[in-house]
Amino acid sequence: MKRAQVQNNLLEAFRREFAQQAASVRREWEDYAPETAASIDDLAELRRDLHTIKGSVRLLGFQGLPELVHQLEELVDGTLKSRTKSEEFLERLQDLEEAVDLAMGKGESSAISTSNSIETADLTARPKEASGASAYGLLLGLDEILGMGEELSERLDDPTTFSVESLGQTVASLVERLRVLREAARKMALVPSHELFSGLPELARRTASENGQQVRVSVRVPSDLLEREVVLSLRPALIHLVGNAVSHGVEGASGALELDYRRIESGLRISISDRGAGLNLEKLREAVIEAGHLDEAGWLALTDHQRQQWIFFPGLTTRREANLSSGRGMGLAVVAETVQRLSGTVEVESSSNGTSFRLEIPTGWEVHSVLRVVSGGQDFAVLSSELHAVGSTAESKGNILWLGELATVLGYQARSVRRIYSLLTKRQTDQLTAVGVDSLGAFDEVLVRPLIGFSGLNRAMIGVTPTRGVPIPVVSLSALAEQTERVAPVRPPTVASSASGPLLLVVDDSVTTRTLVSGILTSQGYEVLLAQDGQEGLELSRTPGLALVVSDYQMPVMDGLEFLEQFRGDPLTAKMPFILLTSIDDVATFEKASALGADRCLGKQNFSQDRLLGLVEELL
Amino acid sequence: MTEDEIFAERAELYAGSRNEKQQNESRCLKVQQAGVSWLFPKAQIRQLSKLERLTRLPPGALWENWPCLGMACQGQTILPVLCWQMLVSGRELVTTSSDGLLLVLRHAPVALRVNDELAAVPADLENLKRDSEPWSLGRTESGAIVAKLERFSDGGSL
Repeated sequence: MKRAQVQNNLLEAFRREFAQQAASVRREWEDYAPETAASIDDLAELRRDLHTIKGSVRLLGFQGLPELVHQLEELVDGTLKSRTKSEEFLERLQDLEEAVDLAMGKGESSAISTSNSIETADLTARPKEASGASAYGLLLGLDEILGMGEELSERLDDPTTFSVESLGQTVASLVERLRVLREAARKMALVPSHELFSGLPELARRTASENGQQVRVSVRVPSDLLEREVVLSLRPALIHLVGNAVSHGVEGASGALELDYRRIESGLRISISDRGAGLNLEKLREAVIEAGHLDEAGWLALTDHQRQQWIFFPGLTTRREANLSSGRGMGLAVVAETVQRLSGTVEVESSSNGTSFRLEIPTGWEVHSVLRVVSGGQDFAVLSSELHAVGSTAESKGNILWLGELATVLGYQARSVRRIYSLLTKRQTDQLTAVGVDSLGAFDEVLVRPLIGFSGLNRAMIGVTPTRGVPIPVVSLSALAEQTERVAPVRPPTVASSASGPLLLVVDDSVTTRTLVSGILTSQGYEVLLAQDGQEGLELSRTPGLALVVSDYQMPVMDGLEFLEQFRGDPLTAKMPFILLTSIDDVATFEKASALGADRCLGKQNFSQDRLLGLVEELL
Repeated sequence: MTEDEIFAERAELYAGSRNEKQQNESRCLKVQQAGVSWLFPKAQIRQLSKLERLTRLPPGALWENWPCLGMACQGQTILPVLCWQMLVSGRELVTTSSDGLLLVLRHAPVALRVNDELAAVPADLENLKRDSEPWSLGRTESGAIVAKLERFSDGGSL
């Protein structure tokens, strides 16, 4: 993602968030009646909103705006102390709204980029782009589909215009458009995980610089996608924690800050650590006892770790005076509340070597590329990135460690099998392992819900993906492979295969697709030649006895269509059956391929072993 | 509005919501399970649906330490499905039907599979006879057991 785009995304997120927060502040202020209220929780929501706004405007580097928010906070504090509602508050709020409008107007020009360009160079991961979809695009697409559905419904009511052929075309078109929409919706729901920390290193450096200090920030983010809602919800908490770490954790002229995010079994773990002198427990004790939350005996009964967690309690602060960035005791309460809202936990661990805040958030959806398979009569999806190769089990011998039927290995009761393929994966020691499946389906990119709260399951079952209203278990083959010490190796069952059948040529630059397709064909008794691009395919196409070609479209050196054109130009192969297998699943590609002489086209998104075998049998 | 009037209005609102709550709680879904009548308070059931398309989990699978039959898609989420018969009998059944009805609980991210012999009945939940069955809130006059769904509390979610 380009730097300007990161900035624009941030500004847009802030624009929406600020509008909601300002409205909420105004509403709560107007509803507030000091004469009837008398609790520490008075205006708590409003104070939290102001705190978040302050963090955001600081992050974005809007000159003068943190001071305006600070003034509002002072007015709130004054009101709570005097129990007289400040007359200035709404005017100052109006000033703030106008100032934000002004700043946003300049936002895309140099005003922001010069003073506070969002630095992303030190974010280690560069995952694939997950933006580019919009709600409007989605709505337009849905409107289009609705229109098609209505038109279809009218045509079905009219026997004079109805035909099975036109129905088929409309349904195919609907399916195609729904696929596009699904992809757009997926992109809207997920963002690259580095957005979690984007801008924070710069915020830390700027905050330190304002205090005449320097801070070194290291960031560790794996390359994956996170739910947009989780990232947006966590941002204010992370902004506060970074500000807090700089204010309290940078001692002397310089310091260091570590921002770390990783996936754990139950979800995400985010750590923000400094190398400061640690929490001042004595001051925290005074604050807790002074506020009347505990007495001396109660404090003494706690462990140090338990005492440290009091810093998340609303209104508790170890500072006597509030300044622009901290001191009201609200920031960490906001952090705790945000994390709680996401059903997560936050805790602090502090010693004389530094302080670390650790947030653990249960994950919602993840995205994985999978190969759909059936084993023991049950559907599964295996992570395709872990797949070394696919073949018939008859080939799974020699150094390959046979684990058994996938369903059985996972603990399901064995049922009879139809056909057997083996999915090969490598252990860390390079040892190849294989599990058997009954049949192979399509490659797909799917949303996966991690299995949280479950036990008694094989840990290789990492989640489930909903498919046509049914949750399908998602399996990590690597995790299965690493369990092999506990599995007694057995010989793979032999597969009844016919004697050498017709010779087929499979042309594909993807080793996974090549081995998948050839595995399906050889298991049915076909002999298979392999080529990795059109040029190599053309050379092999004159092999004596060759009966049919299955070729990919997009390949280096020579693509599938060029290969097809030359293949048809050779009198020896002019009439030989040709199946084009392509991930570009659109009508135009299919029409082009048909015009060049392809007998059948099969989209990889619709790929299944039954479809492939059906086409091969039909053409032979 | 005077302070007394405000108080009276609040008292009325409170009484209204309490009555409504009581009314809800007094309606139950009755299920015959292995010869026992179980009553599920309607106020604790978010949704009732036919159990279709259950994805089985291997034997021994647990959700929050309860034996778990499988999983089912419900709206935008995926819920663990527990078999009520397995829960109350305290043992794993050799064969459990994938048919039946699904009770999606309101206060916990879980669904219960029950027989499809089900009827809506009124029940006096205020006057139950206590018994020692761990899944029972108590028995009604007619001897039906009111299911103690609070045991799931706010367990994990999928």
